[in-house]
Amino acid sequence: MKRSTLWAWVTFIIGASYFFIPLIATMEFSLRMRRGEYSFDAYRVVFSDDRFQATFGYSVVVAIFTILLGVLIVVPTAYWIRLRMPYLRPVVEFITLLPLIIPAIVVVFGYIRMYGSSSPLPFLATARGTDVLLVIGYSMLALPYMYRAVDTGLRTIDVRTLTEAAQILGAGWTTIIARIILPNVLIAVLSGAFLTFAIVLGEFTMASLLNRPAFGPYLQNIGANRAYEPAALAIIAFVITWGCMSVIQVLSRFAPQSANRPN
Amino acid sequence: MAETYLSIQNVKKSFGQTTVVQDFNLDIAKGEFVSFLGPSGCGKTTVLRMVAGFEEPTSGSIVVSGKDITRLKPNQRNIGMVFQAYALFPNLTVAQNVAFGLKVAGVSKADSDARVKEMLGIIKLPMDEFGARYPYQLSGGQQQRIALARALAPSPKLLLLDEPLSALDAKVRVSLREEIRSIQQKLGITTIFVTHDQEEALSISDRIAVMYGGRAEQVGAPFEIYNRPASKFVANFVGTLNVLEGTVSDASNGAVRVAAQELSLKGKLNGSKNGDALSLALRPEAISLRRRPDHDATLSGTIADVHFLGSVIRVRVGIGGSVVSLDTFNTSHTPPPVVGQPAEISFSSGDVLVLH
Repeated sequence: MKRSTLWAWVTFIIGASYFFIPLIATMEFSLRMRRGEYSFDAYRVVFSDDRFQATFGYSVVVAIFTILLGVLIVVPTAYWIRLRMPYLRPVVEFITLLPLIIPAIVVVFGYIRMYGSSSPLPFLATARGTDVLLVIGYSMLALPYMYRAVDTGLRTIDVRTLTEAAQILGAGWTTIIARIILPNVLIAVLSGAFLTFAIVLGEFTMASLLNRPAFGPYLQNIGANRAYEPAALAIIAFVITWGCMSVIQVLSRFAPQSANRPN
Repeated sequence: MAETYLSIQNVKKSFGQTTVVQDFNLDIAKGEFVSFLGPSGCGKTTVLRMVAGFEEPTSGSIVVSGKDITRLKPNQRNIGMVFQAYALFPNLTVAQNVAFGLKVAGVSKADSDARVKEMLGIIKLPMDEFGARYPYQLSGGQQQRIALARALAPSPKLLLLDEPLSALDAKVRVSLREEIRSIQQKLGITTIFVTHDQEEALSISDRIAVMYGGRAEQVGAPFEIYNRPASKFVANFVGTLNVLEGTVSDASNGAVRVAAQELSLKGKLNGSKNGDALSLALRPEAISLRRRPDHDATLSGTIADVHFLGSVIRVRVGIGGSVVSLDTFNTSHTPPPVVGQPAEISFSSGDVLVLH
């Protein structure tokens, strides 16, 4: 074996150990609920807990609405910026990065002040209104990931020429976005969607301060009061996240390949 | 000229302080194939994009078949366009690409399928073999033919070709340009072809508009553009041109002095006065490396360079401070000229273009 190959393997094994040893340890611990033998008792307890099902179901529904709102906002915006206002790209990129800089807790307190029951837009006066506000908040939190995913997707196609080709064939804006642009960036949109899904599923601050029955606060609550179940939940959350990533990988194989390849 | 079908009238286009097209006028007859020829930045693509509706003229109007389309959106104009970068929709198959315009126009599935099959037949990429393929599974030449079929499928009023051959290799370029011309003639569709390649423009156009600095320097048939260029720019841009600098020595007799030698250009001096400086232009094919009975003008010089190209020998002859390039056919019994050897070139004074 060559010296360089040996070092590559050593680096790989150290890196893999760094990721997998804690994971294996957590997994092993989650299986030790029954004294003296391995069992899936912790998982059975978690899955049979009504609060797990309720909070997980709630977060999945919120995630779906968050993804829809994110796609509706980000796809036309990123498309229009690329097509007509490329000079605004740095500004929009900066705006989409703000959720990484401004802590979620600041945003929630802003929401509470702006949309309290005595404000002109009393989102927080009802549970449904608070859910809407939570979806809006999550869309904002997911903005850096969704915008970058879509923008990267748009970069792989010749947006301007494809738009003009569709326009000259008689297509209007809705047809262009629905039949040409969206299908060509669908994999990028799905990447953004699964990242959004993962963020929403684990988010704690907003859901907790807005007092909504989401999966994040449930994870925290279990973690603070139980021994083996939090380890089982961590493994479940890991499997869901990796499941999402795998779906992105599988779908990316079906991505339409670029036609713009001169001889 | 036959009745005007497309009329571009006094069109001007400015981007901020920069005017890229100024006072552009052109009338095109139905079924005519007109090329916009010019260097990069001459405004040819901008005029094409204004006809397509992608750019709005700052002033002037564009009329098709008697209807002013200047302010119409591109999707309301019923114009077909082929782009340099093919612009096939990567997510759609060949058949779906060709059917796109028909579907948008609300054509029934049966009619659309029949039309797609017909168009793929015209461009010689049969439906059975190519219909289900995706653009990435095609070569550049095939993609551009599909783009042509897609543009023609909805039976547009005009066909616009924006440097459609530029991205292709030389061999495909020649065959596709002949195919484009043959399809255009078969369908009788009025076509504007933008190119910076003079050979392309000369070989397939009914007329050429040579553009420079946002203006049409000259509009005419390829033969006219090549043989009677209206300006120094056209003469230089279209074809190879030898330019000799001269001075009018006797205006009344048409005598011009070139490198201390006298030339008689009677009737070609257009009111020039004694002492005026002139540029005399000659196409290489108008010059011979020896005296010929039908040539009434001669100049002496020295062989400066000889390039043996097989069937042709390219010779450069130094005359005073200028160098004249000409081609002679290679014959096995005549050796090529030797560099440094004295030479005499001859030409007909009627072939001299006087550029003022």
